[in-house]
Amino acid sequence: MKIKGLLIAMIFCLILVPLKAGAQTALLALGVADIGTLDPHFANKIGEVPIIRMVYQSLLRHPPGEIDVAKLQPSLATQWEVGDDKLTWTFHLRKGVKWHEGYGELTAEDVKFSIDRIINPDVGSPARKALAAVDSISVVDPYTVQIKTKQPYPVLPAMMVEERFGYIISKKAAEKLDKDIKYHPVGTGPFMFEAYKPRESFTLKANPDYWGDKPKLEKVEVSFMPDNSTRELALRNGEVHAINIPAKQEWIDRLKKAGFTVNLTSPANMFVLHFNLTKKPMDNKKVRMALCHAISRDILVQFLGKDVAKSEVSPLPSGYVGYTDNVVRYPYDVAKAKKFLVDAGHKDGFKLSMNISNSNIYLPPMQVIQEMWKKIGVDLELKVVDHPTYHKLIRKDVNPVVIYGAYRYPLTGTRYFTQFYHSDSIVGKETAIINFSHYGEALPGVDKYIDDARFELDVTKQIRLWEAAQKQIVEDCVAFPLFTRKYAMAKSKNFDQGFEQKSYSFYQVTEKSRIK
Amino acid sequence: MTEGPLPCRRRPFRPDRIMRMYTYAFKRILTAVTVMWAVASIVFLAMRLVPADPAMVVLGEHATAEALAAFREEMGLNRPLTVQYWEFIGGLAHGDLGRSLITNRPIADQIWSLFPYTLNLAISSTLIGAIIGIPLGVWAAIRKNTAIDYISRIVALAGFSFPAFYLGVLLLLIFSIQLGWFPVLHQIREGTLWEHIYKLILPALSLGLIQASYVTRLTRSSMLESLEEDWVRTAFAKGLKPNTVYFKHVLKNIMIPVITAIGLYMGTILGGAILTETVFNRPGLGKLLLGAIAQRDYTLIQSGLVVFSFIVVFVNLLVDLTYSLFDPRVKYE
Repeated sequence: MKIKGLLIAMIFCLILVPLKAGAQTALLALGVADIGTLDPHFANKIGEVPIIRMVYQSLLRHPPGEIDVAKLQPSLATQWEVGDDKLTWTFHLRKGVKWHEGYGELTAEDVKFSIDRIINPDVGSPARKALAAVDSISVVDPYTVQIKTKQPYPVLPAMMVEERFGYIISKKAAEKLDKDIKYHPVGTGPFMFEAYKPRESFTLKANPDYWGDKPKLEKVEVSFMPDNSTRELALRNGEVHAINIPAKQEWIDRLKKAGFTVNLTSPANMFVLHFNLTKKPMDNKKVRMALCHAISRDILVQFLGKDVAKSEVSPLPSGYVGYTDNVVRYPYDVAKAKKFLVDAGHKDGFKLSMNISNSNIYLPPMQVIQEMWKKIGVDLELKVVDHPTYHKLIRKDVNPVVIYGAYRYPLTGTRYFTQFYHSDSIVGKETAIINFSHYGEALPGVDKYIDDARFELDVTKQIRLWEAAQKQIVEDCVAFPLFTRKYAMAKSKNFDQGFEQKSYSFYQVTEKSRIK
Repeated sequence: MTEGPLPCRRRPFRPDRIMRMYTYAFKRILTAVTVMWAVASIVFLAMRLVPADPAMVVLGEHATAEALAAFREEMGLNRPLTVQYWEFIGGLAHGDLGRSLITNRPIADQIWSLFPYTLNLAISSTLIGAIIGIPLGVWAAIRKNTAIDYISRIVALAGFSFPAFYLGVLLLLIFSIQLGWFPVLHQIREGTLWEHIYKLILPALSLGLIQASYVTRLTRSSMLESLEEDWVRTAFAKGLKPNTVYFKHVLKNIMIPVITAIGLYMGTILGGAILTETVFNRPGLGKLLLGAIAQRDYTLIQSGLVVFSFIVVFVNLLVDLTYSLFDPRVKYE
């Protein structure tokens, strides 16, 4: 029976062509096992964000495909202005915007509900701290809201964008769906929920009542495919239109050669070595300088791929507001590094042991550094642990050296410096964030620059303060910036997004996108 | 050996024998339950030894302290370990697998909805393994030290040392990319019987061919051993046709080790299913478990592993109990 069935199926499949979905369906494949949540105030993973961007919208937005704070566009709000007190921001909402699935029209109540939900500690949104400057939000009339900030906060409009801290959700839908909102998003965007198959796919359909242009695509299907080679084969076989790929040079070259469009996007995570000033011998500046001089950023960039990585010299990533490359460099110089070690009293080098994540974006660069440090007699032992364990351990202050990759919206100094270099953020403290080096306590640090810059309204003065902070951090040699590593993705030529993808970790799909 | 070597006569009805069989089955089930309990305990403890904080895993690196505390409270992660342990074991005893840490859905529902896919895959790859492996093994044994024997041994060795997921990728390259006979993605879309069968072929082959190499090696060596025995010489001497000797008598005698092995390979097949389902993007328990590991869904990993080991224990129990079908000499004591 079974054999006969198999034989018939064999013959059958000879005449069967691979199943392909309808013409105006965009098929996207992401390297994740599943989505955890589509609650826009929580989700931040690569499988979740692209779906949320199609469904939910914010008061303002960046131009499609890029992150550029200087080019904010109206979205759910058509106009916005700040009062004379510099504290009261008024947003005028677009009229006639309909929620998906008949949840009515977008009103100021929904906006108030959303912002209140983000800043409410009981809800526990990870985006809460990003809106720490918000004091209160009030409804003026159904199409006008006012946000009051605690201090003058000129970047507020830049926070009302398509990010965890800016998405507007429907009050009615959130109250009715409650926890189901995690898997059943209801927004105002060009695409709306159709079906979710756990661990398989999430399907969206065009929103017929969309306030903007009518979406060109009828459907978008996002499939979850954790296996890298399967995604590549599916793209090559024309079964999907776009995939995310490992940010590796050979993948980029291979797919470009095969005729696919490869996009490398930034702003991306900048990887930095943080020296823990409370662990011996990291407390000795000469030792830290020796370790820095022993690292060649060029070798690291070459190792990661020239299109993928870019070397960085300042503790603020290049391209951020306030960035300066006018900082002390610690050029690659093994002889100099050895001399510093001798001066520090470590003629024969020393042994060092650290935990490192098994993630393929953390471990390989650290192994390259391990080889480079070997040349000056520093014997680094890498204790490989899984990724969440690494994150737990580095926050328990066990590592003498921490490698950490980060990107902080809105691409200015405030969040970067506060989280990594302010003494309030030292790991182990009540207010801890990610200051792994104990900077600001073990050394005087740059707290005053950060605090002053945070509330400085004059942009030029603010930039001066951030520049001073960068210089001081590098001068003290508490952290050694290595490189930024871009996101990589590939798509077939017949998938026309309608704009160029310059930012974000995956392709965005909007009403303009289509299959040619 | 008291009974004759050629078990052809019908067995007389013996109530004591049936009684013994029940006692044996009862003992075996008791052992199986103990094994299950041990597995569940080890899995539970191992999950707690991982230093990563499940709350942080679910809510992200930047979650606030209040949010983390609220999550632990909600999921009962802040209760003493012993309380959590007895709740887990007690739940299992009632057939309750708990709720997923991430999706908060009942785990049993997810496992039941995916179980048929993995069952189909396991059964069809076991069948492919047996259909290819047993005849090939017999043939190689009969034609010992000929070209056929050498080829089958080399192929079996290659299959033996080949990971199933890699074979899967090769099959995809040949049959999907080069020949275009199959899709790369084996998601079930329409849900028709044809689609189920069509999309079972490549995954089942990638696991089944590996399984076949195990079965070939085992059949060949058991067959060779049996062919040396006196009763085989007797059978030939009394003028039986070679095929009758090989297939009716020798093959029947070696079925016990072969079936035991197939049962034991159930663990290997399930392990292989994890990667095969991922490579073919086919729904199933393996992909569920891998997804759970990737997302650090601790409760799902925990219950998923228990279900996996339950399947292995159950299949082995079944195999033990089927011995008598193949060899009435087997006594349950």
